[in-house]
Amino acid sequence: MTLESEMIVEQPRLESLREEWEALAIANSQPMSLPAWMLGWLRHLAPPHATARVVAVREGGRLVGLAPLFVELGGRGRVDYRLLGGPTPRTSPLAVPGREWEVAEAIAAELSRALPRIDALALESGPLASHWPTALRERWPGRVRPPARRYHVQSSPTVSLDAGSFDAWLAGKSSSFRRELRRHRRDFTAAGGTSRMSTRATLSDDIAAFIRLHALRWEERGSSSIVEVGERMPAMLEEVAGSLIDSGGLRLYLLEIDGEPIAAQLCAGAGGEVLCFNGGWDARFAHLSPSILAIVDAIEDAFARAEARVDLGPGEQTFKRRVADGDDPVAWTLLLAPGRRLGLSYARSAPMLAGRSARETVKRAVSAERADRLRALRDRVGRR
Amino acid sequence: MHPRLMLTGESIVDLGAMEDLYAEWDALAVACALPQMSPAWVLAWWRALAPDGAAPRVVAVRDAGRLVGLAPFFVEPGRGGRVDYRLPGIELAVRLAPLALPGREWHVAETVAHVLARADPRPDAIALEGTPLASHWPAALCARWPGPVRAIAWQYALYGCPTVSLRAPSYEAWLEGKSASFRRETRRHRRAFLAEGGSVRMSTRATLSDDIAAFVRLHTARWQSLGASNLVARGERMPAMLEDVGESLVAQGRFRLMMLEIDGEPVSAHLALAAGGEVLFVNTGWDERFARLSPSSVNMLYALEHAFACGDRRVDLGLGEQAYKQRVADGDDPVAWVLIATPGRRLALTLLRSAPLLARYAVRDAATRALSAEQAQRLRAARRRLSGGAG
Repeated sequence: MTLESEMIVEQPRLESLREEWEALAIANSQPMSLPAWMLGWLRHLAPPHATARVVAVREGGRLVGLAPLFVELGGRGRVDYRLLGGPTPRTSPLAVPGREWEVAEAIAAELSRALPRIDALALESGPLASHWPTALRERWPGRVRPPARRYHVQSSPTVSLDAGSFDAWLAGKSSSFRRELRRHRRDFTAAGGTSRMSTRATLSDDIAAFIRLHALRWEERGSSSIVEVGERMPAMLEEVAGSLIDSGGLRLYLLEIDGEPIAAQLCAGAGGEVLCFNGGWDARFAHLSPSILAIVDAIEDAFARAEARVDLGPGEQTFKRRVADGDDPVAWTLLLAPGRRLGLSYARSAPMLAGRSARETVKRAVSAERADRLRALRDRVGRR
Repeated sequence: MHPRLMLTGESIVDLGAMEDLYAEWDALAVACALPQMSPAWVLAWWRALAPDGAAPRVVAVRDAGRLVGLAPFFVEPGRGGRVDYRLPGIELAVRLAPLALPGREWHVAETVAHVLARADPRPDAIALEGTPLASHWPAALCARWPGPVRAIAWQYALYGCPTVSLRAPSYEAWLEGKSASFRRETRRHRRAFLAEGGSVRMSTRATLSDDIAAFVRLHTARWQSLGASNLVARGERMPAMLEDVGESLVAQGRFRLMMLEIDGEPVSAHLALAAGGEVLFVNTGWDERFARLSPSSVNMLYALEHAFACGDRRVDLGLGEQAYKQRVADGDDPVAWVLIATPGRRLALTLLRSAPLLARYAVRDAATRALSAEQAQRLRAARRRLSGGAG
């Protein structure tokens, strides 16, 4: 049976895809590719002139693939097609597992004739092990392949849940980790601490607490994309939660002392995969290691739901390293569409690619301590 | 403590020490679902097929004493030219990769890279041939290579490997999901085979030797008219290797040689390897006198039915996108050829020595895209005629 593709740009038509789209995101274990997250982002956080360009691929009427993209209309520079959600971690086009290559061929054909004419396809923060960048490049129609450049790779520590139970997982950790975790939990309880997961009833207040704690945490450390978007973030989270809080597609874990939130951890779940992608905590309670306690709560809950893996999100912060037992990096790849504008696209991409390359070279060449000092200097300069 | 800080790497350079790792190594191959990286297959390759002068350069990675990674490379020192570290067995099957506990590839790769960077002879290049496209290894080895300069990788070739997902609860349920014409044809072929007095059986320890001889005979006969076969080129060493592997794996149901016979005479043999729910179809042979019964196709479907019965998760139909595979497959999981040039004083020389190979593949690739299927076929035929190969 042959595959049929269509480009969808209207919101109501996207809404009508929700059920099938959700099934694909679950089959691919990609929580941030759930339609609720991506369409919520499009409505609340997308750049002002962003318009959906979603390629749906069907076989005999059944949705077998989807490229949930958007494009910014009216710009003068390179015309980039990007995944809905921007650099949201671990997103990619979707296909029935094993059928990525057939679907990629249909998507590439649709994109090659899309309007506005595509200059670049940006696959940002996608799984490094994904077939998509290669498959889209190989199956792009015509005599010339799109040149592809993977310009950034970032670690994403993971916790495998194959131990069978939370207690068995804990027993497999080092004795110092266990000792410390138990001490932190004891101290937290002794301080009047309780932990809970957000529900429909508490959602609004909990999201406000999450944003406040996150902003507090980032005050001293530079910029945070969550803080930058202001009121639009809580609006989006409330909308997403409206669809996903019952299924566990959105999870918000809270630690409180005497009823006052001191830490919040935001996660998304689908198809046995949990992505813990942002959090916040009150520095006054640093002695209780609230960020680790909140992550461990998410892990314990994932075991109870018989899920397969917790992804702690991009970045190798110390608290993640202590909990993780694996790493599944994410990658940023740019594909430049062949055509008359290819030379111009190259020229427009060069500064960004050169900057990334230089940063990577510096990172390898200088010691970890010097890199820390450089980062601190950059943050100080940035704040002035 | 960070998981990678606890890892230790050890270089193993003799076969005896590799054999000592058998049980732990096999557990890793099963965890990675890579049957052709199992010690039974790799050690048999060493005993029967390894080129003269090849020497093991295996890196074993442990975490608190437990084997969590293994990179079973070999090197052919003294050949002059580029010093390549390669994985054994590309002449027989694809999907080769170092092994690591799932999720720990990057930590293990860092340790492997550190051991390789001070290995003797020092690798100029690491050749990952027929490696899963989705593998983390090429990126991880480049990124984690020690020193101020990272290793450089080229993915210079890519081939499709059709796959069959065994998500359906049974073979019958899977068949129901295929097109009506496929089902009709499959049933007709099987009926015709059975009506001719055909029978099917899986090789056992008792029949192994004879079955392997029949497999090699059928495969050789089939390839006489088709040109070169890597298996045929190995001569008597091939059955020796297969017997070695079979002895280790047949009782566990991981060496699967499916025999079709008519009146007790083998007319088709189909070899597959299994580990961790993954079944790799390695090769096949069949008697052309029975072509009307489609013995190759009938046998492949018996092997598929057997995989369902064993509770496996996926069948990899192997390298190449031939029409008979496309009809059965419901997915594709390509493999890639990647060359990793290691940084150092010899890097420029390595790049120079690699240029012809990379250029050849680039030209072939450009031609494949630019030419129509018919034109490409005519070119291939002309090349075969010029090189003296059979048509």
